[in-house]
Amino acid sequence: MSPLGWEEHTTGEPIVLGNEFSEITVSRVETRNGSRLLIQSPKSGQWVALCPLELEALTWQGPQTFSAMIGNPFSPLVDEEDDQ
Amino acid sequence: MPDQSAVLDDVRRGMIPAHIYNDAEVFALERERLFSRSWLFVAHESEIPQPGDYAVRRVLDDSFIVARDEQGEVRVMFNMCLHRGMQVCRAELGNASHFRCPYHGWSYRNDGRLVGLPFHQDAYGGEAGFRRKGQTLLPAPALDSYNGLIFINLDAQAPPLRDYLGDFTFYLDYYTKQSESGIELRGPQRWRIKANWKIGAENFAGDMYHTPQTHTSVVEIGLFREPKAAKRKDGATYWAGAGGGTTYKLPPGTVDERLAYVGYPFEMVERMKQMWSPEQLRVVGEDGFMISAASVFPNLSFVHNWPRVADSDDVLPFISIRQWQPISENETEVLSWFAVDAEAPEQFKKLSYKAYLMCFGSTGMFEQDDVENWVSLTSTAAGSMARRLRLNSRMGLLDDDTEVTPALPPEQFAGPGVARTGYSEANQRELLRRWADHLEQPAGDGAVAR
Repeated sequence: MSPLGWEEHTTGEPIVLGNEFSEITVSRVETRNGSRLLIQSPKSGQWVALCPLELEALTWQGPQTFSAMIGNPFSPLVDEEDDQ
Repeated sequence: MPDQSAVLDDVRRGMIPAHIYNDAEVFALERERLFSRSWLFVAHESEIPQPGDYAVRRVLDDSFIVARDEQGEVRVMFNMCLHRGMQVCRAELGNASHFRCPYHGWSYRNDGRLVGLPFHQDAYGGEAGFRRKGQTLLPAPALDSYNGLIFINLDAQAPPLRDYLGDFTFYLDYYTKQSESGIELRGPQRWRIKANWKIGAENFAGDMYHTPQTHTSVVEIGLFREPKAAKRKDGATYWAGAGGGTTYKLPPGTVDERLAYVGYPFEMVERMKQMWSPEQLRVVGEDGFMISAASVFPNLSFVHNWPRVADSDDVLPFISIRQWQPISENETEVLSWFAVDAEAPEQFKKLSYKAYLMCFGSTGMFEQDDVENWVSLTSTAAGSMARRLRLNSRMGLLDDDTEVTPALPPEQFAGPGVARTGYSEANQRELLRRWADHLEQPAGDGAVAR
């Protein structure tokens, strides 16, 4: 699904967060049966729509996980095909 | 480097060769021997209260990131990417868990650790070719703090900050420890003046002699009730440890009445009485002196004044912290912060900020008055005639070096160090004596000669 598919279902004003290294928008998406959080990077066009469990999983992480993600810019940390 | 010993000898006897206020060779020596091993203020902890908060500050030509890492620890890191030397942080302040170099995208945790190089495997052969572990932005050689004031030292072997500050901490507490929570800062305003950095430091250290002349208009318009000539000579000047300053003599009263006289509300006075030692309270309550301007060697100053903020006789105190950051022998970047006790009532904070803006900061009246003198002095110090002139900085001394006014005995001044009333330039001489002592010592192993 494109972010546009999610965007149609966003509610409220998006939150914009930025510092000198990055800018992203965060929106709540209401689906027919639940909610997601849509995170978009206006500069790269990349996005991710996270469900509550994925978001909870973020709270289990330490800075190391995020360092690894940031240290591997614009690509997933774990290759999608590795899981096939 | 030409021999400067004659210059240093003149400075020590209070006859200042005028060219030291605009001399490239003297400035080169200051870089090599003074700024390379003095404790230098970079920020206050209240400027980076949350994890990830950072500010970018300079020490001469070096840029530093002053950050609070995810664990809450304060870090000061050289702001230069390990790869090609780009400045990693370009914004003056922000909040970030990681810093990413704009040049090739190397990224660092906010504690300085290198965590990512784009195409690490393809470009370097992965960890086998370039081990990321242990690579960090260069930390400041030494880091220490007092009452939330963060200092760094470019000499890793420098003595601890407390030893360096010495008894000046007694006076620092008046500005920075009025309650358990300490101060919070706003700013800094930052601007450049075509003046040598030493002039501001000397002025704040002890020049109460200039107030009635330079700042006449501030009194004339009714902004300030104190700087009349008679008032200033009744105040004590003191020097203790690495710093010294000026005070005003307050009208008779108790410590409560005297703190109220300069505009502190009851609840703030109560907290000060909890925080300050009996001796610190005695200086105000019994000896009757209220701190005003002060400098810590080499280039950090404080000011505490109490102007009228409205059309009434009511005054309100403010505190400013300022740094005279050298750019060259004839240019200084002034950093001016507003400081206020974090537990002060909101209305007090608001009015105190207004009082500060009227007096100091880039538009403040005192600031405007002062800088005109300092710029003029600096430009005149560049010429050949200035090399023939020794400025008389011996106020308070007779020809044989006996003092015009003897130091106050402990029963008249409870603070540490040496204090005296009356006009003198003893503090400016103390500051420049330290300056001369530094310039005389060749750079040690810990300091990098340049």
